Amino acid sequence: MKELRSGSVKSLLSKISSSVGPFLVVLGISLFFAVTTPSFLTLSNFLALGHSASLYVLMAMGLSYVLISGGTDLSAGSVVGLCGVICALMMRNYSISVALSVAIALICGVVCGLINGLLATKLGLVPFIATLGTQWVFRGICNLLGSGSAVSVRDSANPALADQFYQIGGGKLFSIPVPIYIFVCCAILLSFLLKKTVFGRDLYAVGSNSEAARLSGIDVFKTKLIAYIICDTMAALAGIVLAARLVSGQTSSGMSYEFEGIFAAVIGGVSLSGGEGTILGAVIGAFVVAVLRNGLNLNGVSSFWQQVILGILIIVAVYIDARRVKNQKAKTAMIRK
Amino acid sequence: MDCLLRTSNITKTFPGVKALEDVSIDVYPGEVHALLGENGAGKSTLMKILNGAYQPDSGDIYIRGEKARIDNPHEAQKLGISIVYQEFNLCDHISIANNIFLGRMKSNMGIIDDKWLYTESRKLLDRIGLNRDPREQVRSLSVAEKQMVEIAKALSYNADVIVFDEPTSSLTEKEIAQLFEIIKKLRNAGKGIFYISHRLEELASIADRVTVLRDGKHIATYNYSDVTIEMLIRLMVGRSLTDKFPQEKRTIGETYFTAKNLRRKGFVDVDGLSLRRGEILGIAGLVGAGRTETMRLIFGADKADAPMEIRLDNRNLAIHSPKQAIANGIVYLTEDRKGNGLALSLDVEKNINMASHHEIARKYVVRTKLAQGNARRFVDTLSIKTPSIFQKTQFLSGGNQQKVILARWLCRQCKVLIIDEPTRGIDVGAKYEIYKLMNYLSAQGIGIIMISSELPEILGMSDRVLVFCEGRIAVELDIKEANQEIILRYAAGVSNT
Repeated sequence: MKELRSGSVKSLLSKISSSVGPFLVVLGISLFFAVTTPSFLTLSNFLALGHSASLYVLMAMGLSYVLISGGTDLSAGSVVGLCGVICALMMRNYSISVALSVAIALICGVVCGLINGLLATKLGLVPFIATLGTQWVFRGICNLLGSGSAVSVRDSANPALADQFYQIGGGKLFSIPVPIYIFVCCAILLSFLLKKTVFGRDLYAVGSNSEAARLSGIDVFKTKLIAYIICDTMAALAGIVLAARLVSGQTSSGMSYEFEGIFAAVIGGVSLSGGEGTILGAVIGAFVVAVLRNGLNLNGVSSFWQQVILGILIIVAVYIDARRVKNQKAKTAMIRK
Repeated sequence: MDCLLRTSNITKTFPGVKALEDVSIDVYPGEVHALLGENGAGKSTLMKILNGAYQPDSGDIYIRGEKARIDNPHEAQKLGISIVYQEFNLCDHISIANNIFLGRMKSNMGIIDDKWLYTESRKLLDRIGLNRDPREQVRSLSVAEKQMVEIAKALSYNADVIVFDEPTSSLTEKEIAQLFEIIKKLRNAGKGIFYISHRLEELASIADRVTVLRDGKHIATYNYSDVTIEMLIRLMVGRSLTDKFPQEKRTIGETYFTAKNLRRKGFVDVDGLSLRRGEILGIAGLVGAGRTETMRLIFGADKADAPMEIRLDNRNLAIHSPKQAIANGIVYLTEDRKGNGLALSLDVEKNINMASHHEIARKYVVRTKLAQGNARRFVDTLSIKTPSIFQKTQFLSGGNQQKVILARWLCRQCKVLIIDEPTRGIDVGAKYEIYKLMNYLSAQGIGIIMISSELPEILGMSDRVLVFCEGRIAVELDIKEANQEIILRYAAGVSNT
């Protein structure tokens, strides 16, 4: 009973440290930027940070579901672009209302997830390869739909739509950007789904040992499929928010977002081998990415160097993840002795 | 005669655990020295020290009377110490010969001397009597043959001291006999052999001396002729087990479960089997006789070639998936704990409740308190040794892991319990507890089907025995008419008497 009664603040702290503990190096780097940049510690910068983090948070949370299930989704970035373009197209070409356009874009995300999930489960393809393929397919469709350029909602027959649409990505409520509300709501929902529901339990079991899960009566196929659907729906949502901020669907938007999402998830303690991770961790990881980006920008580091630095950090993060698995094995051997 | 290898007062500590304390053992040329102990007694640590994988905190190792320092496995090989591991270190996709001489190939300017490789390998295989072409890929070999390749590898180093780490745990009785022949041959050739094992029965045919370790301490060393099995058990567990199998009178009810027409091409060809309430039905047979495959059919884990007829409590069941089997009260406890039993990266609580996700939830929302209470109850009643229910199961010992899986099925209120190798790889004390649990369950009227490759277990626990041979039931025996000899004869397919 002891572990139940411990204070919630304390348990939250210990949860955070247990999930991101190994990644203190990366956190340290982020803090370095925070301290060395004068404009970093300002309220406006913090809100900007939350604003830009919101996209990473949405990506990281969705990808966490797939990673926990033992899979991966490299097409998520393309889904961002595709669904953003579709959402903008609906409004520009058909003057469909914002709500309906958003709904259609989200449904496209669901379909993308369904396709990825079926490829990875029913066809039994390696998720890495299957989603590498759909990454191209989705991006290609996105380019076809947008004819390779931006789809601006301002060109719509109903110009009022553009202003309404902008609210989703750039609007403010009580002086807090709307995307922050969106990701907070999603985080609460997804965290609850993962921790407190039958599906969440199934997901961890499937990711940790899918055959053991099957022999325990869990529907492995359904569970994995839902994980992919959630992932790509979140990617679609990110695409909508991004398109709304620019009031146009860009065919190139969301490129490499899957990497930032996976990076954030891994930093937040989601295991690349499945069965481990939390939404809280993914959110923290996403903020680390945002802080890094933000700090690098404020320090005037060129976007090319940012690529180099983020690439190196991804390798470091994956290395740490691999080491963690190895250490656990060594610890196991030791305890068994 | 000079002592080949001697350790003197070896101590090794890990954070929080004293793995070895003042352990001194030795081995002479031409003897088999058995090392016994429960899991966690320090056998493996000692072996890893001999192998150079660990360094002792204090104490010395003497090889042929000279003090030696073993820094790494390579050093150990040079000093003439070889270890045949329980889990093989072979590469499946390359040939036998290449496996034996991996990394030590004779070559001419980088080009491997194939002729030398295959003649040398042939010689080694002949020495241990493995009748296989050294060019064959290792993956086509049986478990026993793989082990023989490991032994050949050990011999290729010209090792004087060979350590066998539980070599028989995955072998059939026949293969064990073969292995013992090889070990005896090695002994007669003047090698010193350390033999680590859980199976006390088999020691009688090979051990010359026996040492018992317990909690990292050296308990006793005897000439094998001076000890009895009961004595060894007492020394190993530090308490007296009245018997290895708890004897309880079982009340057996009517037949309530039948499975007919179980077919899977190449694996299973069974007309039918039945189970009575409160009965333990032992399933004996050699490895590969289709025992596990038959049970997996009943459980819906594999697809049957023809429709099965499964009746439970006078109802016909259609079983196409484990989910359906579980829903009907038929559960299957796998033989492969780590492969398809436990979710090792998840904690005890999640593993225990893994088959009950809908039972611990109200409308898809998990009731955390109920789930945790469930787990705590089983941790208590099965006395699972774990710091908390939030411990990851990978950190538990084999016996406790087995109990966690058992708990997973006990919370489902099953009617038919199928247990595959219930005590594989777990120590004597934990075995006894598992047996008691099985007795307790059968007293509740649950029928248990127990697959086991350990004949004493089959004979000690079952009420009735089915012997499998090549996918079929070779014979059904009442426990009163069963003995090791009969079972082995039917299992090997030589039943014409």
